[in-house]
Amino acid sequence: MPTESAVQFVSCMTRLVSQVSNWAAAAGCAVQPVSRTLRDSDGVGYEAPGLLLQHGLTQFALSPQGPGHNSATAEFYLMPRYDDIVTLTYVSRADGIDDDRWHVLPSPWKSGIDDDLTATGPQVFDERLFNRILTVAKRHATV
Amino acid sequence: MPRFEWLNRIKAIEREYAIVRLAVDLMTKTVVAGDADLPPTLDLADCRSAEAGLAATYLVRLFAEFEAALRDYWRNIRDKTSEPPVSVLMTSIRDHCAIPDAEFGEADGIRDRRNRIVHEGLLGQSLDIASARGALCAFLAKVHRDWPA
Repeated sequence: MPTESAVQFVSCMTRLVSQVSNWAAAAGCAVQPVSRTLRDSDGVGYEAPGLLLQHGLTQFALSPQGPGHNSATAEFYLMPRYDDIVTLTYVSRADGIDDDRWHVLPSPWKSGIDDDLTATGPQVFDERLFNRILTVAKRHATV
Repeated sequence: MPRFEWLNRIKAIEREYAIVRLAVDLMTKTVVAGDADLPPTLDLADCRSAEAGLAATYLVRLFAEFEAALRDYWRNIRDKTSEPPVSVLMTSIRDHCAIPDAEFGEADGIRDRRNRIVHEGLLGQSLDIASARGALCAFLAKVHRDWPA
């Protein structure tokens, strides 16, 4: 059995994937559910959901990264090269820090292409921001 | 194994490289400042050596994961029992999947760099791990026939 932290992460990702699927469909994207095998802190493998998204010739992926302390992380990657777009971070209310919502952070990696998505700092991940991510993905897309 | 898993495994190696790069840089600065408590058998030259060889080490790992992905596809999707050299494997998959010359050439260039690291010990050349990851993922992304995402 995966740890409680891993189970909570999967639950959190499942909600995120559902939300993003709805926004993506509204934006005219084709959506394909995928999963990724992760390992919990005891080394037990578990499956976490992700998404492949396509709008026209632009493809990008929502990839689960794993849980932290009362938190979770996922990333948007631009296909086909798997370049970083942005990082999504979720902080649980149990920590007393936030409000159970995902936030968009700048990619911490040099290869990130987040443009001005996070110019004003972390932002709540909502449908408006998803559509901006889609715009950035299309701007940087290579077929 | 689905292609999405392989793409993430390659990406995970790049992320690991980024963390280790930060750690080695920090350690080198600490040693230069005279604040490091190194074991007596290690010194600044070892830090410099680790810095110099890091990208080459991770390029070899990136390519190993890429090769494992291709062999997984070869065995389990194409149902082949042969174990061709990786250059033959890449060419065969390119031909079968109509992978464009640009993607093939870039990934084959990474194979060549890996060979020079492994067989000729060339560590000093400048290597961009993010670009290498991009080249290898772009090749895998084009291997689409019958390979579940």
